[in-house]
Amino acid sequence: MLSMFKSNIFKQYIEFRRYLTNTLLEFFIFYMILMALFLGFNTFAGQMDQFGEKIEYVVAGYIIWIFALAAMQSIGWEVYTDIQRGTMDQLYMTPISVWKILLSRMIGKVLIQSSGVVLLTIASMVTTGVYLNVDLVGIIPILLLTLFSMFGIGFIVAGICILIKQVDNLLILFQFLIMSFIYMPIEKAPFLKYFPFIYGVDMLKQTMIDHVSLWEFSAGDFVFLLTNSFVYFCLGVGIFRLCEKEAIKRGLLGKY
Amino acid sequence: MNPIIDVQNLTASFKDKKGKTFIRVVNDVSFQVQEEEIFGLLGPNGAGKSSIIRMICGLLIPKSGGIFIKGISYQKRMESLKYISTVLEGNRNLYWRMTVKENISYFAGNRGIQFKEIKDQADEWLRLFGLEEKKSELVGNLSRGMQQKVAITVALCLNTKVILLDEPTLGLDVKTTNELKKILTKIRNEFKKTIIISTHDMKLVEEICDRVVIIDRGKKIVEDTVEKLMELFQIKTYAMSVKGGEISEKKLNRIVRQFPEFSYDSTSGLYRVDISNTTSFYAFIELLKKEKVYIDSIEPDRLDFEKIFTILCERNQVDAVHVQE
Repeated sequence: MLSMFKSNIFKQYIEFRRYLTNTLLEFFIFYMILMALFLGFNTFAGQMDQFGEKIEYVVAGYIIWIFALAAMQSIGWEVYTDIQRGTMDQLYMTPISVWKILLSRMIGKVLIQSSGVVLLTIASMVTTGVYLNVDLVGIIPILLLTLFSMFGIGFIVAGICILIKQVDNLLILFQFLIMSFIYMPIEKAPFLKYFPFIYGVDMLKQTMIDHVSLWEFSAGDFVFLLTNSFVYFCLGVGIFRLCEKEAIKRGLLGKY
Repeated sequence: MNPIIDVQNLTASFKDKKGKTFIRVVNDVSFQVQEEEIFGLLGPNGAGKSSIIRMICGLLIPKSGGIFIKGISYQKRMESLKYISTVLEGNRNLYWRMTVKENISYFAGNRGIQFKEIKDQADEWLRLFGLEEKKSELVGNLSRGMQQKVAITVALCLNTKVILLDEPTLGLDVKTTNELKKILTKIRNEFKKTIIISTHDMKLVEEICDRVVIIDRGKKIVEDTVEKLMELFQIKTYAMSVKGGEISEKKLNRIVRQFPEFSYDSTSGLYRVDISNTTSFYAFIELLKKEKVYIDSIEPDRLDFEKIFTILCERNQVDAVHVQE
């Protein structure tokens, strides 16, 4: 199990190294989009009250969105390319559950993307002059818990990829769907807290924007976040396993 | 002796393109593969070979029947897959943007094997395949033949008892194919592996397989040793060349249908005659006489395995027509 975990983390690192130019370009594009958002916001909302608070909201949301993409959408692309290349069949012929392999890859991806996100956060804070509260003691535990519900959604995406195969357009659409969920204010629509990762994202935003420390959240907040993440993680794995079972039953794997 | 792979009454079916009716692609197929055997799984295109392979390596669930790998049912997928590694057809088994060594390490890691445990062994396999210089090369930069050798090396490094190879010589040049034949024999002889090969390459079968099962239209038509099949046909089959007269295609089809022991090779113009059924043989001679077709020569037919395969499949086709009628 540990060898499998290490192998898949290492594979993500190899791919990151081999596609370094592409990865750097990806971060550059993310940075440019952030700048465009910032300048746009600056121009059109410059006269508004509480401008600082609003732009902090945009920057924090954007940083979380990039993290969420690494956790949720990238696994969809991984499965999609593995199906295209035919290597997905090789994974299904190993005596280990594919969801465990995919989970290792998602963790690897998040670990690698973290360094990029840190750089991007610093760059965006310096350029925009909007300084977020980077309280790592507060951010890391909330982020870790939130990540599991994001992984759950990643599994649902991966399951759909295995069944439908041609999902590239769906994946592009999916990233905007994630963005809208991240920017949705929970106080305006409290029912959203039952959705995956929204409660965690809200807690992250409170830490980054309102400088709320880890100790100021109630035990109830953490219990709710933990339950939400656990439920969506299990649901995601369950749906993924149902999809793969159906794919094997219908003979969709190894079709060449 | 307990078989390492035991396929029992295997059946598989898929929905047709409209999704309304089921098409049975594998129909009640049973065969056994013994340990340390090189076993051939043969059949024409669309015979159901690929479906059988996909069921053995866990990519497809049978509709009915069973597959036992080292006595473990396919239903205990994770357990049974420990004993088998598969190289599927084409260059789709490896990560092209990873090096040879990284691919070995990755796939071994997924089976709980650390690279340092198999490093010496991997080096040995790579040396055997003449790939030691290519260890740090990206797989995507290698030739088709080399990629195939790397895929087999990866499968060998997984330390499984059985290696399943789907069309291992497809797209390979003669030199590489010959190298592969030697290596596969060595793998069986020296490393005591069981090898199952699904192929259209009858020369490969004739040269390295111990036993074969031939599948046609989803059904097993024969399971025997290559040696016995060769003997069986060599003794009883004669090649007959004729002159004069003319047999129309319609009549020819009637003859083949009436006498399934005979076959006609349109390229060489030779009738292949099985004399084991004497009544049928005399009736055939009578027919030739009636059609004013004269026998020019009769010689013992030196059949290679490809011809035997063709005859067996043709006979099965005739049987299928009879059943339909």
